[in-house]
Amino acid sequence: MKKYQLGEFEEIVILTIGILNNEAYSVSIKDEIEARLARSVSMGALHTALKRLEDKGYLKSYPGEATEERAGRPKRYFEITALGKKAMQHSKATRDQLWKAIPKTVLQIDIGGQVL
Amino acid sequence: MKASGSPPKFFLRFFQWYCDPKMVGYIEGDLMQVYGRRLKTSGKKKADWKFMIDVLLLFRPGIIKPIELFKRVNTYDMYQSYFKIAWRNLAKNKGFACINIGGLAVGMAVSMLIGLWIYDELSYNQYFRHYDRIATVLVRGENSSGPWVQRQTSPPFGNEIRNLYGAEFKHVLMASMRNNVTITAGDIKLVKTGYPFF
Repeated sequence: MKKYQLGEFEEIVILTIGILNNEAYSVSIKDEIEARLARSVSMGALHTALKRLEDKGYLKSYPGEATEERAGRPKRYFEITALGKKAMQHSKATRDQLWKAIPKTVLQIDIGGQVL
Repeated sequence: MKASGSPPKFFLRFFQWYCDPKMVGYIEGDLMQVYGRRLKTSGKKKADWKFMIDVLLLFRPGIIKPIELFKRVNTYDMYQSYFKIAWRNLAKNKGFACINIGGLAVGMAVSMLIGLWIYDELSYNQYFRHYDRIATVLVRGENSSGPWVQRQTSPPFGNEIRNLYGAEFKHVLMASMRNNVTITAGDIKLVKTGYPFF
């Protein structure tokens, strides 16, 4: 099962890139994660995750336009590769499989005799 | 930049210094964009402060440039390619490769034999004590067809050398041509073929 390795944060990043679809570059990814998941993302963590995903072959990047607000520096857009899509599906499949295997009663939360 | 003010110079410089040159442009762009946005929403002081934190949080492996000392030099791949191409060429021209490799093998075998021969020649007769001090007297002459050399000398030559140079040598021996020699001791007679010494 070592075939696809996707850490928790890496999974969030690659899913967000999927959501942004063609508009995924570091700042937009950061904004999207912060907006959707209400957690702050440091630039360092994000860039290392992106680099690691790219090294694994799950992401592909290409340089984009340079704007004034970026002090003339180009953006770097990210795209999910076929291997990346497989890794995402693999991680979802394994999660689903585990979820199905849990007996229903385990997930029920019992508060004062009342079953939620 | 519309909102006046730029990020702390020192931290920007620090970032540009440690960052991997392959990523520096992109990440610096991100930093500037986020800085500009924060400048508008929360003021210069806070934006500066957050910029510093970002720069410090970016200081981590993967973003820091690789140390030059461990820079990968591509020689392994180069040699791998050479061997691959050589192998493909051999497979493509099989007849030529056979002649080539066979010729090389024969050449190597012959040169090894020559080496063994030279070794044998050089080690010949080394089991004699002071083998490097043993000499043969040769006679050199000249006739109409040029110079000649031979081992045969006239019989009195031995005694003459013993008289003149005997002090320089331990032994001076005369050997005859290969022939049958009869050795007599009382009644016993022994006939042997060989090179008798006198």
